[in-house]
Amino acid sequence: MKNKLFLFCALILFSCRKNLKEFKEIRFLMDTICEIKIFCYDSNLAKKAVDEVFKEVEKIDKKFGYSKESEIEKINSKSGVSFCEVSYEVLNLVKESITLSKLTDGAFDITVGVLSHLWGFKNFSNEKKFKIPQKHQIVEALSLVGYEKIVIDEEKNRIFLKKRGMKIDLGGIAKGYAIKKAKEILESYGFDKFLINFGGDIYLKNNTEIPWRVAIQHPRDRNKFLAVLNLYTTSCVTSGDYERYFMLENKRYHHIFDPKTGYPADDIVSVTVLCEDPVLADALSTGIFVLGEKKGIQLAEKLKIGCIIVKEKKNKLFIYTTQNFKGIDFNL
Amino acid sequence: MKLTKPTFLDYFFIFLFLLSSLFSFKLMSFKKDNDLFVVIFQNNRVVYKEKISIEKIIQLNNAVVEIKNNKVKIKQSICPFRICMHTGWISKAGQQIVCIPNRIFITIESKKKEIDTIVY
Repeated sequence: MKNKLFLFCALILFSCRKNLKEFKEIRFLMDTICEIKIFCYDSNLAKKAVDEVFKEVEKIDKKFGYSKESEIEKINSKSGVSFCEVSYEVLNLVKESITLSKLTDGAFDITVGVLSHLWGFKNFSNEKKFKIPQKHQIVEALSLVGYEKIVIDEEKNRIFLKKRGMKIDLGGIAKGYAIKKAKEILESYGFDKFLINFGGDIYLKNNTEIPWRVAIQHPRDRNKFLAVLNLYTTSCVTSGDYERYFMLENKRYHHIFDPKTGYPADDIVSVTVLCEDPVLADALSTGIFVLGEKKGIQLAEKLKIGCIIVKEKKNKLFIYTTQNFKGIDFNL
Repeated sequence: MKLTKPTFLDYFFIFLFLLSSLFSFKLMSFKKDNDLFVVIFQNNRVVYKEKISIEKIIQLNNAVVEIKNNKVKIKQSICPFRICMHTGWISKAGQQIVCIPNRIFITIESKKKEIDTIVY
């Protein structure tokens, strides 16, 4: 009788157990689409957390974005003239960018903004025609490129760009930073399973048994995925030549520039980087794209991060990966 | 009232009943899972959510969306790079079209999830 009663109670308790529900919210922020998914028992708590995240992202956008009031634009407006006082947050991210530039042998560089302007890839919201600049224009622009021309005064929280006309652009790292902040907020709420996707750069947290199913966009066919990965807790960022580009005489000109040549990097079609730190993943996806396949894979193996590279030769695609992705079926 | 022992026929009917209810439940859930929905956001608001099988031309601010033959695309858009138009047709659950300048986000949703997100 006791056993039956116990079984009955267990059944009642089991049937009363709440299920994890998916809470999802989408906003346009940082000039991109920002999506957050949380698996939780309490939707109100998830809503509160997501509102806090988006408020933080708005703040980051104001600090690091392209508006005239942003601290970055203030630094740029004083280039070659004087130091500019900045917040601790901006100082630290610029410092981290320089560290990552050194790590990638200058392939990732926050001073390439002048090249984007020259080629017509900036002013995203305004009508702008792309153009291939003259050689002398590229040489001139390259004189304003180089992370070693950024001076940081840590004592007085100031930054100085040595040459007049220099610009820093945190576009290659700010999304990663925003994701890092978002992840910290969501973790502080104690969620076990959540997903942050800011314009295709993602962070996943998963302490449950069911993995996240993450599709990697095929670089040449919008209706195909390169692969679908089962992932738990990681960042995953892709850089490719297929989002912002123009075609001229059958040649593709895209928005990821080699800071050494001034032209779009042309060894790789797309690169996907997987590692715990979203800032590192964001910067390295650009850095490895510029470094090219051989040096890129070498760097990824050295740093013990995951990397999937797609190259194109005579209209055929080829895959190169770090050791931890060998054996995965890719849909080329 | 005197209760009699259940016969073979009783068991057969109970089994048949259970089988038919299980079958209809599976059928219903299968149909539900395979329904694809087009969801269109503009300026952080859902402005359209219907089955992908419903053919339609939707006029948004600065853009036109077409839903045809179980596919969806941005047909026209006033934006600098036309990335949204280059995306072309999408038809699978999880696929997206984004137009940043016009703050338009189109996605295909399904109850049956094959993927959770796309890295691009």
